[in-house]
Amino acid sequence: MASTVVELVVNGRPTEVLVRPLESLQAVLRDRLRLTATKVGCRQGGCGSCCVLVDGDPVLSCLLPAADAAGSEVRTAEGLGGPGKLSDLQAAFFDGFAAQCGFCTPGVLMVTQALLERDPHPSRDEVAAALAGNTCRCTGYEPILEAVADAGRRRDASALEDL
Amino acid sequence: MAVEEYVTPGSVEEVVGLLDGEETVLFAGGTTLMPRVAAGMLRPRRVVGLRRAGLDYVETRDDGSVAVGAMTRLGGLASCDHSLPAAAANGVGAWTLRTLATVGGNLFAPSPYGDVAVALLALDAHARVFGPDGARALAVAELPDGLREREVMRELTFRPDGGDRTAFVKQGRRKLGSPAVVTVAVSLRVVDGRIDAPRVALGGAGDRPSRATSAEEVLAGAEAAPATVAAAADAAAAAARPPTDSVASGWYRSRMIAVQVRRALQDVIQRDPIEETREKAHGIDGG
Repeated sequence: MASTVVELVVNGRPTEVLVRPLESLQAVLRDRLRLTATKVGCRQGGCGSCCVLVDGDPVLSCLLPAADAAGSEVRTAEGLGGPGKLSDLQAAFFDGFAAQCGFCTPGVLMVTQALLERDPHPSRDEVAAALAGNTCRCTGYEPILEAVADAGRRRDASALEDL
Repeated sequence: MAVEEYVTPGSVEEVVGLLDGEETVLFAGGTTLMPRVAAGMLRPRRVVGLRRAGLDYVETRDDGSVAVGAMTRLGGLASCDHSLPAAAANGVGAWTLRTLATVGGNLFAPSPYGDVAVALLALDAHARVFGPDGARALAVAELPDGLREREVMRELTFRPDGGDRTAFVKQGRRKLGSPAVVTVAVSLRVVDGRIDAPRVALGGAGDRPSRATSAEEVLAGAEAAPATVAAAADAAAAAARPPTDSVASGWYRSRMIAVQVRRALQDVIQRDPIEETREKAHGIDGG
């Protein structure tokens, strides 16, 4: 069995990691790099709890061989915000009680982060469509949709402050 | 037994050369293969990936035909300029799945999955394939069973000018992210109030996507009117042998075929393509 060295950038940090053939990005992030925010829910691509960003696109990390992410920029929930500081999106989730058990939350954060990077003010339907692949058993989704709308407003407010 | 090797050669020719059949499988988007490997249902020794074989594109050729590379991600197809395949791709799963799932892979997805084939059938599309015996072309209707051993799809081709009125309808158990109860793709023209070049393709009417030829016979040359639409929808439902599975019963699918074919046809014959183009041109700047 021939492992290969894969170079990629993880949350802004250039990283080298030893990867087994066909080993998923999910397994590499969690087991090799100890970045356990990305969850294992189904390993079938059906629950969305493994969602990360690869070169800005939301990807189900359980379906992507880590070798296919070589040379790419990977972002996980650990990369949101900064030391001791929540991002606008995370703060909106926190204040809006959009996380209960928190298991779906990292995957939900990553896909909504990708959405907001493309459109800072998505409609409710657009957010719901973006989240079609993310299962949440706790919140009933409504607080999540509210939090994403709130995040857009917070970003507008902080952008105004920067002027 | 763990996978011993995962390789991504730079050409289809090299990929075909590596498909030596001994515990070797082909890897496209991974949305079918990775779950099977994770569940222990598939234990390949070697996995050969198409990621770097240069098959991710949507382009118009000099002769006006459109070519879609077999590794085009469904997200890419969903945002292309061709409304019928774009609508089909956009209805599959969710955004997070469409960044990895491929057009070619979707053609292997068994019923009740596999919506892209329905759109391609309505476009009378063909597949260019490559195998140990060289290159050849197949009609989409022959896929995937018509592929020979070690043959790999390169691209799907179709002519975009077959019909200027198209519609795609997918009925699932949920509005989004659900396999299909029924899927309908329609392409036709209306000339002097009569239907011309009708193509109606259905998913959920049989064990694989197919053209509703009896409905097309009702439509060809007939008046573009509600009575024609109703007769075509009934013909489509009557000819169907829909499967029963965990998504829907054959009984329910029969009824939904009639409903969704009628709605799709009503939509296209009522719509005026010229008016639509005018609306689009004026919509943004209001001039």
